[in-house]
Amino acid sequence: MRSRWIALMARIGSVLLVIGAVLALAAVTPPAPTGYSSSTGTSLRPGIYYANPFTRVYSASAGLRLVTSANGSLILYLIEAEYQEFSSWARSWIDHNFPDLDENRKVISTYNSTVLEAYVDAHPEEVLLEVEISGDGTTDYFPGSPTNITAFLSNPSEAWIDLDLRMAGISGLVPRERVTIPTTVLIIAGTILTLPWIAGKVRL
Amino acid sequence: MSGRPFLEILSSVAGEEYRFPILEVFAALFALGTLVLAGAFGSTGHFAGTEEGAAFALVNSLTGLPVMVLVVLMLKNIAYGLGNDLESGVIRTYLSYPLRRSSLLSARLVSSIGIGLLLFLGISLLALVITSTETILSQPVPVALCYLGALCYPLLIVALVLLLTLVMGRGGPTLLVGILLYFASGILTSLLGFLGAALGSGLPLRVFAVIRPDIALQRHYTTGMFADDLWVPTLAEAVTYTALGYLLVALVFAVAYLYFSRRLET
Repeated sequence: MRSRWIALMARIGSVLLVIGAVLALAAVTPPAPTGYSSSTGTSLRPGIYYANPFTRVYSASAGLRLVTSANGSLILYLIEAEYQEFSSWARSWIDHNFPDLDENRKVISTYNSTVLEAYVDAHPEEVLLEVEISGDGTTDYFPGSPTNITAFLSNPSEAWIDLDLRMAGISGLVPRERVTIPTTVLIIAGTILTLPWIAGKVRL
Repeated sequence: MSGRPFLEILSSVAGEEYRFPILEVFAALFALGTLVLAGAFGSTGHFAGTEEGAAFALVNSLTGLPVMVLVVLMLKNIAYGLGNDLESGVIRTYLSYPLRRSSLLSARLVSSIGIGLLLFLGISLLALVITSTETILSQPVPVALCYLGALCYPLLIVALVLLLTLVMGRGGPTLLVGILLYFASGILTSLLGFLGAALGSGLPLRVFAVIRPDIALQRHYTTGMFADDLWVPTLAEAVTYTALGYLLVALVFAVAYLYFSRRLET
């Protein structure tokens, strides 16, 4: 009877090991571009930000890749909002705080980094990522759930910064950070359950 | 029901049906199929209009390939496994156990269907938890209904194949019938959709939805994909079709149990 239980545990263990191995394989499979991408090259004045107006829905499996090349330090913000929502908030913020500006100045002021910072201060829950980037770099981001994301790059320095930016959708089989714990648990549990059976075979 | 003989038979049947590495291969197929589909769904990002629709579409996209694998596994166990036992007379050995015939069939079905279902649901839910925890927690109803809808027709096929295998006493032809029924339903769904559109009536689809309630659920949740005037059921209607579908499944299983208990000659 005991040997039957050991055999049953071993089979459950081997199944857990297989599932753990498949999860590990899926986790190490690198994200791949999904077809769409957009590229832009621009020079950012001091205290100005650049926003990609094409907000898209991203998810835990369908992420966003930003390939940046800049000759200075920029702050990258990924914000959980439609660009139009941000834009109308920025306009009303300027109307409220600088009511005396003429129409042209208001439009130009919309692109000031201070407006972006005010938005971030007012909506901290919408800030998914805030990192400093410089030189050449790649940033991959997968949100936890299906989300609208707009990318902003702000120039906080006193100098002009040339920026080349390529944005692309990327797809991963599973979000790596979410798979690590279940994979480890499955592999450890699987190994523990199969050990008595293996030990019995070795003794024989 | 005497526990020990039941477990003896369950253990014997499971040992035969899931010889190493059959169980492990199917576990890998379920896991790979589910995770690859989860990735593919994420990359296309085609979310339905409502949150319920998005949750339903997500689960629906994950179940396609793994359900096909599950059908293959269950048909192999019922038509091939039970069919062989009937043909070779192994079933007579099981009938010599101090166990009612219905309990014997239950032990057989727990192994042939239950283990596969458990594996499928376990892996599918694990993949959902990993990729879309928030979706499952916020939309449990469409998630549960999607699984119920997706499994209803496969279970009906398995029940029919079980009954046919018992009546014919062999599994070869019934395996073929099962495979044909599974693939024919896809073709029939498209044909009935065209027929309904041509007649301007949702009646053909309504009738077919009794055996394929996933059609009613899909048409309820996936807004914008279907012509509204043809047939878009309410949630209550879709749930009723699901209940009717399972009633039919239960009926066919009940007939199989009755046949096995009273009519089967070994």
